[in-house]
Order: sequence, then C-alpha cells, then structure tokens
Amino acid sequence: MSDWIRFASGSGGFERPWALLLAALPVLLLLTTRLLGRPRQVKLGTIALLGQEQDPQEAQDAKRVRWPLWMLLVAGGAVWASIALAGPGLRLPGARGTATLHVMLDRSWTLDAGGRFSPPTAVASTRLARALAAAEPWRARAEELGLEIEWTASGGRRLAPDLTDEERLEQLLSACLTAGSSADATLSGPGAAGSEAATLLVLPHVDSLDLPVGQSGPAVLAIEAPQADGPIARGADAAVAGAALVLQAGQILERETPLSGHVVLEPGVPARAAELTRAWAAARGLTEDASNGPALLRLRMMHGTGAGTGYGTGKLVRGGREGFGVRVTLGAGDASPVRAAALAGRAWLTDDRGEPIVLARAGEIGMAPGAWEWTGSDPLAFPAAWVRLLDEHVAQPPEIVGVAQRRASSGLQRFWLEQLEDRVGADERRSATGACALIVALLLGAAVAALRRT
Amino acid sequence: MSGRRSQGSSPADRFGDQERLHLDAALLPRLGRFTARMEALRKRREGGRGAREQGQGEEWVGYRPYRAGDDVRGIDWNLLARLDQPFVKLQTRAASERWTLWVDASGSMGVGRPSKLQAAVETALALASLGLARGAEVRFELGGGCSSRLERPAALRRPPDLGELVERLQGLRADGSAELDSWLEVGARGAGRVILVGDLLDTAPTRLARAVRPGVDWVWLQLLAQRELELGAGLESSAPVEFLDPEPGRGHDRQRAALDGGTRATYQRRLSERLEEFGRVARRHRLRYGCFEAGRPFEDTLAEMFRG
Repeated sequence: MSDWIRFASGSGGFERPWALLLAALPVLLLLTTRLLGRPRQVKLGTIALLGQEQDPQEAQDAKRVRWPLWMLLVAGGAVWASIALAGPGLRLPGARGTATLHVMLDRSWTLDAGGRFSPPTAVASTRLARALAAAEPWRARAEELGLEIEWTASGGRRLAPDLTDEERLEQLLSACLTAGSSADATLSGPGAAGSEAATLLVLPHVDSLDLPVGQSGPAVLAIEAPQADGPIARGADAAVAGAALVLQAGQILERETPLSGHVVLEPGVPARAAELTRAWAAARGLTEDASNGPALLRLRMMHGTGAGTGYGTGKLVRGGREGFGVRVTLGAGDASPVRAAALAGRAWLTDDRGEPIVLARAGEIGMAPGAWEWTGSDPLAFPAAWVRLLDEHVAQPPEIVGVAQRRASSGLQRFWLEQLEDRVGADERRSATGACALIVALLLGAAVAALRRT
Repeated sequence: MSGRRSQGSSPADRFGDQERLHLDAALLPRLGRFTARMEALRKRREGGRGAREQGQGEEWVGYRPYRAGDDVRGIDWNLLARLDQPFVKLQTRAASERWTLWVDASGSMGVGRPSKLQAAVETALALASLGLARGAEVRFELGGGCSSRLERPAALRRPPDLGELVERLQGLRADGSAELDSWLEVGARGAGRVILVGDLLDTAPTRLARAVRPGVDWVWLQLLAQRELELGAGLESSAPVEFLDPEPGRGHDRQRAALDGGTRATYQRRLSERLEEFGRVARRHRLRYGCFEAGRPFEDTLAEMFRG
C-alpha cells in the first residue's frame, strides 16, 4: 500500500499507478490513426473543374476530426482497462487504520497478577507492566514514524476512558520505558511506514492466536505478557481473586465482577469447611441460601444405607492430601459415603482403604457425615486446597466462560478476526471493482470485434 | 531535343511541388543551341519560299531612330543627309519584331514538379532568345508573383541581356494573382507579337480574344501540370485526397475527392471542353495556341508549337 498515489484529499489512489502509463497507448493510437488517415493534400490549379461546390458548413465539417466508432471503442476500452489494472481505490473518511497504531490491551485480570495483591510500589512487577515494557520500543518507533497511538481494550473500547486508575497505567508506562528492540523491522514495514494501521496486541496468551494477516493487512504484533509468580489466593480466610468472561448480547466484555448465585450448605457440614466455603462464596459474589433452592454449589452430607460397606458407626477413618489430613468419626448408620450417597462424582479425598471421604462433581460436593478433625502442620494447606476444589466445581451459568475456554477463544482474537475480516472484505470489494472494470473492457473489445465484422 | 531539364538540384521539396524557380548554368547554352537550330530551320524554310519572303518587297511602314546594333544597311541615307541624324527604315517584318512576352507567375503556376512556372519561364526565355536572334526587341513581363524580382518589365535588346534576366529571375516564387485581364488592356500595346505563357486558368478564352488586334501576332501557350491534365496522376486511387486551390479565395479553396472513375471522368470531360474552347477561339481569331504538359522540355514544347 505504500506505493499508492494519494489524491489531494488523501482519500483515494491506485495500487499500481504504473499501469496508468498504458492509457497513453490509445492516445498514441488515435494520433497515429489521425496522421495516417489524413487525406493527402495536393495543389490543383484546375480545382474549379472538379465542380464540387462546398457550402461553408460542409467545409467546416470536412476539417473536423472524425474518428471511426470502432477506434473510439478500442481507445475507451484501453483507457478503462489501464485504469482497472492500476487498481483504483477510495477510502471513506473515518475509515479505520489510517496512520494509527492500535495498542490492544487484554483486560483480563490475569494481566494484573503479580501486582494486585502486592504493595502499590510493586505495580511494575505485574504482567501488564512487563508486557508494556516489552511493547514500549514498538510504540516509540511508531511515534517516530508519525503514527497516532490509540489505546484500545479488548472488546473494542478505548482504554483510557475506561481505566479506573489511569495514573496507574501512566506509572506502568513510565516504568516500562526501555530502549532497544529487534522489532523495528515489523513496524517499519508496509503497515507502519505507510498509511495502514499497525497493531500491537498485549495478550495473556498468544499460543492459540491465529490471525489471518496478509501482505495487504495491517502489521500485527502480539506480545504475550510474562507469567506472574505467586498465589492467586492467600490466607485461610483471605479474599479470593478471580474473573470471568461474560458474553452479553454477542459482545465479549471483560469483567472482574463476581459471580451471581447461591450456595447451599446442608446441615451437618463441618464447621471449618462451612466457614471457608462462606468466605469463598462472599469473595465470588455468591450468597448462602438456606431455602434449599437452586444453587451454583451445594455442600451435602452423604447419608448412605450402609449395606455391605464394612464400616460401622463410630468408625474412625483418616485421609489427607496437599499437606493436610483429616480424621472423621463416622456417624451412626453411615457406611461408605460414596455408595451411600450414590453421588457420581470423583473422589477428592479418600481414607486409607481408598474409600472416598469427599466426592465432588459440578455444582455439588459430598462429605462423609461425622465428626471432622483436621491435622497437619500447615494451617493454609486445607483452605487453599478447599478453595481450589470449590472453584473447580462451582457450577457456571451458560453465559460464563471458563478460563480454559477463554484461552482457547480469546475475546481479542474474535475482535481482531472481525476487524481483519472487514479489511479483507474491503480488499475483496476493491478487487471486485477492478474485475468489473476488466470485464467491461473485454466487453468493449468484443463489441469492437463485432463492429469490425459487420 | 536534349530533353534536359534545369531541375537537377532544385531546392524544392522532393515529394511536393517545386517552390522556387531554379535556372541552372546549363540553361543559357541550351537556349543558344535551341535558338541556332530554330533559326537555321527558319532560314532554310524561308529560302525555299522565294525572294518575296526574304525581305524583298516588304511593305514600308515608317522610320525610327537608329540604335546601336541595328543593321547599317537599313539606314535611310537620304534622310541622314537631310536631317543629319540616322534613321532606319521600318518594314512590316521589322515592325513585328517587337515582342512582348507575358509569363504567368501567379500562385497556380507553383503546381507540379517541375512547376508550371519553371516550364513557363524556361519556355519564355527560349522565345526571347529567338526574338533577339531575329532582331526583335523583347519585352519580358511577369504576371502575379508577389515576390517578383521583376518589378518593371525587362527590355531585352541583345542576347547578353538574357543572362542578366536569368539572374534576376533566379529563386522566383509563384504566388499572387495573374491579373491578366487588366494587363491586356495596356500591356500589349505597341507590340508586333504578344506571347502569353501560363496556365491561362483565370480568364476565359473569349475574354482573352477581346484584346486581339489586327496586325499583331498573338500566341497563347498554355502549360498545365501532369496532375492537372490527368487528375490525380501519381496518386493512389484508394487514398483520400484533398485538393487545394493554389490561389485561395476563388471559391474552391479546398475540395476532398475520391479518385474514383466517376470523378476522374467528369474532370477530364470538363478539362477537354475548356481546352477545346481555347482552340476554337484561337482558330476563330487566327492566333496560335497550344496546350502542353509542364514537364516537357521547352525545346519539345516550342518545336511542336511552331511546327509548320
């Protein structure tokens, strides 16, 4: 696109301006025909004997240049074809991607990891800050080239007005200014140096990104934010960070808002598990529902029939995982909680004999009834494991997309696919215009041939 | 006839009409040879016709003052004794030996290669040479020719005057209008022989004939280019041709014509009628007339013109 000849208005041009030189051919053809077809002028002293009186109008008509129709058609077709070959194009005012660098930021909470729960002085260590640091040389290069920088959040919204803490972004940017990069080649390519937009993507994951970037499309550079270290949950009763990607009216919006729904804790749920579950539910935006109605997560005590289980009332079972242990003194009449509860879930916690103590499936967690005691030296081991269990099995409404799904189908990716499809569509329309012009030229040629034949 | 033409290194366009008159160095010797041959023929012819045609018994018409170069045998000695001034006796032949040569140099004479002007001037010079050889005083005039270097008529009395005239005519260009009608009213007075050389296209033969007076020998020598005698000669019949009037303003400035059979036939018929009218008028007035192609050597033209 850099070889486009821009019109004075800057809104149109030709992809192959050299093809316009072909338009000179019909002009030469007409001139040659004019010269060759010119009647030979001969002086004749006895011209009066020809006796062909001409009125002034006829003499004027005789002087007038008359081109044969077929010649005019050939010339017109040739001019048309040369214009078609030149590939004319027109850009509407306000069209995307003119001398602009789009910096697309994924607003997933994961880009804040490493900084959200850190002291304010440590913001530069977030994934976003480090990604921006990597992107800064590119942005600076684009600025040198005169491109406007447009910050956009995933979902197509301008980032700056939506930022809750713009100063924080400024701090991030200023902290991330670093020099030197091998990326100049991309930005100085056709996309950045010319009129088309260059795009800088800052994403949490780029491994699944497969953008259809053609030679005529914008220059796209995707930067994956470095992975952040550290927990996403801390402390037994601390807040739990999380996010969800909500589909609303077909548009993808990033939200850091909690889930919406209820948690049901049936009677007999051990106190510690209940307390931790209530804290988790509060962090997620869920409320406890005592009415035993529909819930995103239900904690149940599995009271089985006890037939053939080998366990009797008062039986003590032990189990443990991830650094914690439990001792459960089974209640009267209870046998193996799995068989008794007929809960088709996976065994999350088992005893020494391999019999399940805690079973889990989506939206439901079953626990063996009895007296629970926790053992182990790490007081945080059980809360961390329990919250993870709850996160993994909380039922999600249909509009909620999980993290794994979000990675596979990024909102950014979809947004960019739509944008690029628009551009490809414009190119196709332009190609279609050229094709139509060529077809017209061919039709003109056919008309000429028909005229000549007749 | 030698058949040579004085056009070898003509400055004119090689493929168009000859623009300017070019009289080369070989012309004067050609004129001399031609004159000598014609005079020999005349004397032989007159010798065979008896003493009356040798000048004996010619009618006396008067006297005129003696001029250098006159034959001293023509001096009237009695008159010299009485008036103490030499006079020569004028007889019929001597009176007629005042020739007036009018050469058309108008624009239409520029047609052809060699041009009609070239042929007309060479022919007129040959006639002048003949007149001088016969002792006539020759008056040489050009009709038309805005670029004429001959502002006044040239009076030729001796053969060497021819060389000077040739120099003055060199490079002459055919243009302007002949104005023959107005010239005839005054130009032919006092001449015993008037010779018109040109294409004679501007004037009808009947109008020319009005100037004819008894006792004056008139000669109409008409020269036409080959393409005028045969329309479109040398041109491809399929190519479109636009004919231009070399003297614009006569009502036929330009005409586009297809050189098909019909156009040619019509033209040739009209040309024949025009030339026949010239011949008819000339015979009626007992004057000498001939139409020739300009490309012919003047020797051939004049030999045919004055044959018999």
